[in-house]
Amino acid sequence: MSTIKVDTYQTRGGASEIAIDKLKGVTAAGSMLVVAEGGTVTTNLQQGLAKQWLRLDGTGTVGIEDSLNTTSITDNGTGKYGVTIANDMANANYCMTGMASDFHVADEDAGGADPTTGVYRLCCFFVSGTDGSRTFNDEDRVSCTVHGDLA
Amino acid sequence: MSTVVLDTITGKSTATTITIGSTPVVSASANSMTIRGEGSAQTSIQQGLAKAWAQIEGDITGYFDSFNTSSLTDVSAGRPRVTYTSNMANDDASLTISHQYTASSGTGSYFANVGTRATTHHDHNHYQNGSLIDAEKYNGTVHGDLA
Repeated sequence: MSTIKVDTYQTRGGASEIAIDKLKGVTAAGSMLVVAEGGTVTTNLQQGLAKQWLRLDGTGTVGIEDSLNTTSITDNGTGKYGVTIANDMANANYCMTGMASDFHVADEDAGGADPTTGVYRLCCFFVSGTDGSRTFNDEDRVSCTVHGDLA
Repeated sequence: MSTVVLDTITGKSTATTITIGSTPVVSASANSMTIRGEGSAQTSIQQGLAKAWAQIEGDITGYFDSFNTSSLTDVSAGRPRVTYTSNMANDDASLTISHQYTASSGTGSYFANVGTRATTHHDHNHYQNGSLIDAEKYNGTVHGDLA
């Protein structure tokens, strides 16, 4: 057990900031607890952090507009995209959620492989027609976020 | 490279209060730690953390992986209920959900939020052609205030 007891952190120049590159737990390097909003219950810092996210433009030549922990995207057909994660996940059971500006986004498996630790596929579609038929469509504002365990 | 390795940082005079310069970063009353964002603005660590997430098997028999979840209930076809280990403070939490599309998902497959939201759990509703149908798998993430 290691404890630092202080009231105030300051730089030598008096600035109100701590400059640090990496934090990790001692008991488990990849697990740190944070007291939550209610003041009693704790939540896990690492588990709560998004491990990858991006917003892409899926029209024309597809491109990443902004992202975290993302290497590249691929155009897999109308409304379908592949995402390559830079630092891989520990397993393929991560939670990917997404939305597009006017369409549903789904974790895609049709005709392809299941998500892996380093790559997942997503598709954009809207529900059309009175029979509930589905139409894939390229979308210019596609957002998705991954929560799970990094390798 | 700077590395701090420890289990606990606590105030010396008041255990729950740590101040950086003149800015409290941990407060017993606010229960909020702030961190400087990518620019100059501050953001709350607590508010930015997902409080629960899960990937659920399509037949609603178990979690593939999850965080802050306990039991999983098969309320009906296409409707898994995720129960939290640590409850939320209110039923206004943000739930974002997606599902896995497959060729067998049928047409018009989509998710919707429903009225069954509580501090203890939430439901997913997966519709296909207007009816609740099991998805291939479910993904959901919750942001909000823990109790």
